[in-house]
Amino acid sequence: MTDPLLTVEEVSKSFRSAGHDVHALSDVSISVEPGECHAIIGESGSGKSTLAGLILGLFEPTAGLIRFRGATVSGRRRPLALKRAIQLIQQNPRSALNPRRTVGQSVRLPLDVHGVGGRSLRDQRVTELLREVGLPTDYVNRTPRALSGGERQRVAIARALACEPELLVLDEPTSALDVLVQARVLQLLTRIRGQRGLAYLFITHDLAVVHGIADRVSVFQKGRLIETGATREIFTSPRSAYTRRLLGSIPVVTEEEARFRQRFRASAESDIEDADA
Amino acid sequence: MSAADVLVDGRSRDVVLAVRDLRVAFPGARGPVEALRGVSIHVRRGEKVALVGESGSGKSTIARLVLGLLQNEGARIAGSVRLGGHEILGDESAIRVARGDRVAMIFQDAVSALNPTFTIGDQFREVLRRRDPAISRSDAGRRARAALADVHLHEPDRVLSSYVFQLSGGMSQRVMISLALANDPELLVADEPGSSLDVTVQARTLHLMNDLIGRHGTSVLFISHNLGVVREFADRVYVIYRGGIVEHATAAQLFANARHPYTRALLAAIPKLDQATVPDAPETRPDFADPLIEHPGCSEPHLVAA
Amino acid sequence: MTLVSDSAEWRAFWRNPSALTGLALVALVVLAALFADVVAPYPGHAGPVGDFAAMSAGPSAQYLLGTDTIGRDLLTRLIFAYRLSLEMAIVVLAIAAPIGVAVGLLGGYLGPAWSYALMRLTDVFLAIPPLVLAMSITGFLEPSAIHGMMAITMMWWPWYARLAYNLTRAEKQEGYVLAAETVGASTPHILFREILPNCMPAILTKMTIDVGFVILIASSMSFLGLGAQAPTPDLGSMVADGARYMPDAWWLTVFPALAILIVVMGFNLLGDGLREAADVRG
Repeated sequence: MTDPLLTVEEVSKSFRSAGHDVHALSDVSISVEPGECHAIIGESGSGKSTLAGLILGLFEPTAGLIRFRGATVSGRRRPLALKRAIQLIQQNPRSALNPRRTVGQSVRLPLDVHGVGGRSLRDQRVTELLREVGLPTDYVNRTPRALSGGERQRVAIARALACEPELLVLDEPTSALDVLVQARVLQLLTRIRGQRGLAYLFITHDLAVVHGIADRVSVFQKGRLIETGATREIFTSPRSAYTRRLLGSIPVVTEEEARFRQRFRASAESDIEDADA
Repeated sequence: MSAADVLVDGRSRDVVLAVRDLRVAFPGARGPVEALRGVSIHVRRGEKVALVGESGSGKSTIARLVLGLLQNEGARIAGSVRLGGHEILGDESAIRVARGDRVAMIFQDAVSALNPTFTIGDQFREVLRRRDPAISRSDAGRRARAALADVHLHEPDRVLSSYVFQLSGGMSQRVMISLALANDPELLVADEPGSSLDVTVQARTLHLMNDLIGRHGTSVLFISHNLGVVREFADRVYVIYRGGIVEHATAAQLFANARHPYTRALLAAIPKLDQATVPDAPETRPDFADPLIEHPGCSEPHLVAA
Repeated sequence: MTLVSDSAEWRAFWRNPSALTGLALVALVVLAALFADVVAPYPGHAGPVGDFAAMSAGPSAQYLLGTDTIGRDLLTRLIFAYRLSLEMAIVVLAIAAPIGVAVGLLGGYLGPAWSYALMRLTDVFLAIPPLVLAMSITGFLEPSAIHGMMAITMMWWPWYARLAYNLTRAEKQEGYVLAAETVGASTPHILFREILPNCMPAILTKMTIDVGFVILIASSMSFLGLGAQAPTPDLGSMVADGARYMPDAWWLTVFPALAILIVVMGFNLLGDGLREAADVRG
């Protein structure tokens, strides 16, 4: 049994906002094994973005600690090697690329930062990376404005892969994409993970996506970990009422899905008559 | 009232919205860009009709056009849009009169659609005055409170004196719905309703909207990219691809037996809740642009022989 | 690095009549100043000696805009004054803009302590009335074109700091900044290679409009005797010197004042045109 790649141990995070404390995360513990896809399910206010921020080192936990490969990691003063190892794919591909840099320049950025080889070696790597994410190599000189949402997301993925990371944090990577594009990007992400043996921390609100790609699932609500387990368990016998309610609320398109969902519908429906607080 | 009644009784059911051969082109860097290429759709009284497509399909253009909200100088528009029998295309005053009164719109994101500098109560008064310019403050207040109760907001006075940013996402969505229905419009146009909300909140909100619409007998044209939502709430569905309608069916027909290659690709690409697999990712194929497929009983009224 | 990479923006610019007017006026002034020695009818009159036979002469075929009290051709002196004004504006902006932008970038990106310190420093400079500052500086050091430029530079950089600060705060929210941070890029890289290029259109537009305003302030200062000294031809001094002779030798004041108007308006219109064109994309 290998050691986990990443562990989050009893982590809490509070922010100060308008004079009072906001408890974004309370006493959360999860782990990610090397090469596994661990999904984080949560709606707004669940703390999933805060979790991503802590793992990426954007800020420090208020309590608890985070370990990567067994060693405790801190926030903003991370060694470059650690920064390389954990990369981010963001939700909004439009914002994720610098509009004033070409595709090639964006993908080459990590290579420049980490001083990988000489100029021609880096250019070659960029070409390989573009091919890996399914983009034509002549895109190197295009600006993001000329690209569609799906293409921009692929460039962002290529840039993340240029770091040769071990863990990808994906924060709603396909939520802003059209249906057909979403499917293609999910296929790409699955293929890349298989080929490179990467671990994914896949943050989303979309349970249907999770069922298809995750090995393990953790459900968050209002900053707390509600339940965690193998994907199969969560989808056949979820323990918490919140998870059941989530499963029962999702719009579906096939009869089979509707039947699957029916088991959880009672939990969902009892909520429908409640007024908002 | 089921979809079947609409069809059998086709000719005698009022057509609330009739769009015929609508063409819209916008000026572009390299010549005009066609956003809509001869689109015909209709909505009958009491029906909930969905327009489904991806981004760039033209679905939002139609919604904005119906409400006269298309803000693009230089747009070339041809065709016919009749609201309750009156042609509104090209007729600024007709649209203005109808808007807020006979036709209302709800948007994807309530917080940005509602005016942040007015209280909810102020906005209700403004909306109610469109139907009844002389309405008194107390009458307006009474009707506003009733409208809020309809959307299950149980502290109406607090809500009426609040500003949008003081309400939660779900609450402001409900406020937006109740504002839209305050004047009992014939037609409600909903642009991606609830898509900015959490799934559980969205489910609640849409269920509520469905109830209200049923009670008022409002017709609905709703625009969505989310086929799951469409399946739950629409009677009839148009699938739009690159400015043209490619499939027209009742919701039941479409989800049991989609026939157009584009629709089938869309349905295949959606991740399925009950399956532990990554969905199909079909490449864009030429047959996505195949001509319109109409399911039995689904055709445009102006094309059906009298 | 391209300033405007998309043709839609340039098309908007070429279709804008006031922008084109601005461009025409600016081109006129710049070309005249650049080629002053060739374009000016009496280059010798730029110095202390004029045509003593035609002192205070009104506009004529020989001296198009008239002559001043010692017979120097007004048109010539205006052209050379344009040259001086443009040189001053360029030097001032070439120093004030980089300083201001650097302060604003740092203030907008770094943590709250730095941000507070830098922006309060900016506020202090902004709070001093410009002409008072100019008068203090030239009070300590004798009035001259150089000292005038120093004064204007000191009062000008905070505006660029404010602009850059606001732009940086906005850009900092963008995903590409977060991406650069997670990839491990250094702070100087993020500031100058990621954020700054996205601020350039607004900064360059402001610089264009500012040329006119720097000239206006410089002219105000030299009107008060705080800038370039005789015999150097300077727009503000010429207005001041000519004011005594109103309304008889009206050309001595009116033409220099019009010259100021032309250059300020030209750069204003051009700058506005650039700003509107940049907004087309948004």
